[in-house]
Amino acid sequence: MQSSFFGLNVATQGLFTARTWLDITNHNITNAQTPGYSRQFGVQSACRPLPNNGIGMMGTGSEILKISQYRNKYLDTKFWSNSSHLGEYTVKNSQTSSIETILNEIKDTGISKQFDDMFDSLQKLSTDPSNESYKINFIDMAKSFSRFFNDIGDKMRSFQREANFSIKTKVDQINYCANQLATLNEQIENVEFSGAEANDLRDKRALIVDELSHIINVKVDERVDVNGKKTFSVLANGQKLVEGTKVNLLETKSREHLNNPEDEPGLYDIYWANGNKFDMTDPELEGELKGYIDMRDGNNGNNFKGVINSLTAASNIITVSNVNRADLPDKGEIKIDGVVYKYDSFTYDKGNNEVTFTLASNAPAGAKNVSMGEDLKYKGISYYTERLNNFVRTVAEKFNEIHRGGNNGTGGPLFTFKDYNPGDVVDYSKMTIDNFQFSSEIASDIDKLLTSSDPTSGESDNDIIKRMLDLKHDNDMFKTGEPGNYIQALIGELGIDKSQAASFEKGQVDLNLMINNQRLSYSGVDLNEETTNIIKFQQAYVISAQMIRVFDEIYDVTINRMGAN
Amino acid sequence: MRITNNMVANNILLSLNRSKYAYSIYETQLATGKKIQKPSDDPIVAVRALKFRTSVREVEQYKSNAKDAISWMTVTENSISNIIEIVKKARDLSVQASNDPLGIGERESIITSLKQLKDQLANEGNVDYAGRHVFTGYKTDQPLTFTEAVSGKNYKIKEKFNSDDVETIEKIIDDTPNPRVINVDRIRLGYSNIKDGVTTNIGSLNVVTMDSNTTNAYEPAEGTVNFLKDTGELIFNSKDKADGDISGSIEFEYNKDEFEKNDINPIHYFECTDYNNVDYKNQRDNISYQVSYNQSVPINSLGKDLVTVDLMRDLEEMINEVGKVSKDGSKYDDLLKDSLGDKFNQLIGKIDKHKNGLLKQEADLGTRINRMDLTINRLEDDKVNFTDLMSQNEDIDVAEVIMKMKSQEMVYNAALMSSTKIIQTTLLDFIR
Repeated sequence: MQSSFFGLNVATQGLFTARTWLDITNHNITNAQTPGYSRQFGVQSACRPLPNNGIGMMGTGSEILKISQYRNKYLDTKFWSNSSHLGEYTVKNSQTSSIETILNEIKDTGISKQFDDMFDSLQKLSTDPSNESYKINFIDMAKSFSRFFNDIGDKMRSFQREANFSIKTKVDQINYCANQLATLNEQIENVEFSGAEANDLRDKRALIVDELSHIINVKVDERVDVNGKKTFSVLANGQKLVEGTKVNLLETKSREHLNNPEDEPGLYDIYWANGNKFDMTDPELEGELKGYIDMRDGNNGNNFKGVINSLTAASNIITVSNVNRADLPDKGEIKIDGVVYKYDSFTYDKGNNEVTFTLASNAPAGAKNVSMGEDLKYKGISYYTERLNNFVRTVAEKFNEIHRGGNNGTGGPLFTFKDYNPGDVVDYSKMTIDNFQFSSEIASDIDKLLTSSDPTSGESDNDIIKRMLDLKHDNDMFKTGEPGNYIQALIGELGIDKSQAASFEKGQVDLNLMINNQRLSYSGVDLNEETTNIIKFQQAYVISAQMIRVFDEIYDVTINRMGAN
Repeated sequence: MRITNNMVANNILLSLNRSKYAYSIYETQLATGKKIQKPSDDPIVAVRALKFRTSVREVEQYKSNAKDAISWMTVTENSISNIIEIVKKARDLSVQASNDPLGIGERESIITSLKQLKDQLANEGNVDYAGRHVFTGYKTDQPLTFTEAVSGKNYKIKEKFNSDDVETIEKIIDDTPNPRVINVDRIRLGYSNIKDGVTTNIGSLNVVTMDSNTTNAYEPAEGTVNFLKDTGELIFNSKDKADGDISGSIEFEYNKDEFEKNDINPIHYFECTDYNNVDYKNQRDNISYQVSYNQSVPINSLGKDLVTVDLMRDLEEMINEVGKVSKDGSKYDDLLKDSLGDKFNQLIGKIDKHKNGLLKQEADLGTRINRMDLTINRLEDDKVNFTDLMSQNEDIDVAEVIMKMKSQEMVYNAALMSSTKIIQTTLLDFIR
């Protein structure tokens, strides 16, 4: 014989189930626009049936076992690995765009324009070298040519400082994310210890990983040990950042020495909290952080390199041959066969192309390869600054060589730099776009601007001016040919880099959208679906209530009317 | 596949954004008239744009140089034709004066005119273009001839000759009472009235300095050269000349510190050292303007080819010759007078030679002006070509961009419309 109230209980179960579903639906609807939210559902099942004499098992209604969520780990992983690509190229796109704006070429104020202006004024001067206003005009144009570069230098420097600051900000963000992840891990562990699913907390955690994966490439792992304890860990570029409730944070420290000679002093290096250096040049690194590092430090492999010919005994004086450049900081750090050494001074022998360093400590016998800074194959601020330095140095040297021939070989340099002492030999390795300037001596005394090599040949002799004019078409000045070509090649390079970054970014955006849509397709809340659920479970609720009324009537009949007879 | 509300929203946002972006690109293109705004828009177009701009600017500058050159050469051309006119007048006067029956009075009035012509010639040599003397090579600040008398400023002048420059002239010697006509071998220096003696590299001959009125001034003994400092002549013994004692390159160095107005300035004509010890090398200065990449065109003509030392000295000598006639009726005077006709005849010959030289210079300049005209035409063409290429490279086709913009606008509107339709309604709108 079954219980008198059996049906009423089943109907009540129905009410509970429908009510729980309506609550879940409600939650889904209110969170439809919550970032990172994945829709939840009840795991519904029939209650344990009771054996009924003779006719088999009698159903006892339904129940919600637990509330779970739609979340696809595979899509998450895909999203995270793509997100760091997107972060990197978003930064690179916007940053190269800034360099483009700084150089401002093809608008009316670029280097080419300044260079052409200067040569125009030189052409004018060549037609009447005795004309003082033409001379002044040329000097003005040459001054504005040099100032234009100073201005670029200024902007490049502040641009590099900004990139440097961004690196610090990104490191702080990584730390912030790591701490949040650890906190969430703790909360989730506590909740799930009892076997429930911490759906909303998990969503929050995944959202933070979303954010983190934009900054740096991450690898996420959730291990379950034999006791069922789950440990959520995050590797940032292959190194442990978060493991359960433990974090391994990053920090930034200012460099003591320049990596690239054109760098701002005191740029940040990144270290792990345990003191290990974070490898900023790791080719595996991705994300916004990588974007800023590449922009700040990228030298396209133009860092100082050379080879020690023979070092038979340990010595603190080493001579490095086959060097690719000699515009080094007065003192700094070099790497000898991968080991860092400080040097106090150096000299350059142009004839043999050798640099001799005086080290603070002895280099071992047999040492071979010497380098400074990192070989970072990206065309960043360092690279473009170095290219522009090279341009002004070469142009200045050529102009000065010719002008020196003026007035029986007594001409002073036309282009110098800020700390240049009149009379000194111009050390072009000290000349940069920051300090490059038109000779103040000549600017203040235009008679020192020489137009001919022979002072007695007459005021209209312009052999010096003509030779300077020829520089414009001097095909041997640069590897890429005449100076105009050099700038054009540089601008072309920059344009290609920028449009490449832009198209990478666009591709990544598309890919990101696709993956995100896949995620949304799986996890997102659909209002039509929720509306359907409302209707479904409202009906279920109404019908269950109806059931109760039915049983109520049954009891009324059974208890009141039958007993009243 | 489930399509959720946020997916739809994301897609709509992205496509609206892209559509707006494409629209804004066309908008900027129309506003600027340029295909690209920054190098990355199209690096190839950008690099070519830079090249073309530089080319156009260069062509413009070359054109301005060429125009400047033509102005300069036109001034020069006018002046040369003036010089030719002056020389022609001098010839006409000489033809008149060579007429034998002419009396000394008439010849003297002709000489007055010749003097004026000589001064005109000197003035013409000082023509300037925008304040720069056109005939003086690089020394455009120094006039070709002295514009006022100079005294006490010494120039050490070096002149070079060779044995062919020794000319034979007739000279009337006032050997009272029997003046006679002799042939004299001489070299004439660039100036008369020279300060002291002369140094020379002819070692074998002894140079004696004197004035032209010294006895035997025109008849040096064998082995001697008479240097007549007042007339600036070096007289050789005919036997020495025949013996070949005067051969190869002959150099004379002398000082002169008195110049009259309209005298030629030695720094433009001779190797010399001025009173400030500045050396002048007597080079053929070549002022040239760049009118194209790798092409320079010489624009100047040199005064020493136009107002030549010889021409000035010939005129001076003729003037002196007529001035020597003292009208005292002596035999010497008669002889002088008689010889004037011949002298003028000789002058005609010399002037003709000068004139030919000048015509050659004029023709040469004419050719250069022509060439410059052609160059300007070509530069004009180049400019059109480059500007055209530049425009093709970087300028938009307005009609095309407007069309593209319009169709982009339509796409954008359609996207807006469809998206409002999609996200406005849910199932809820259709319940009950």
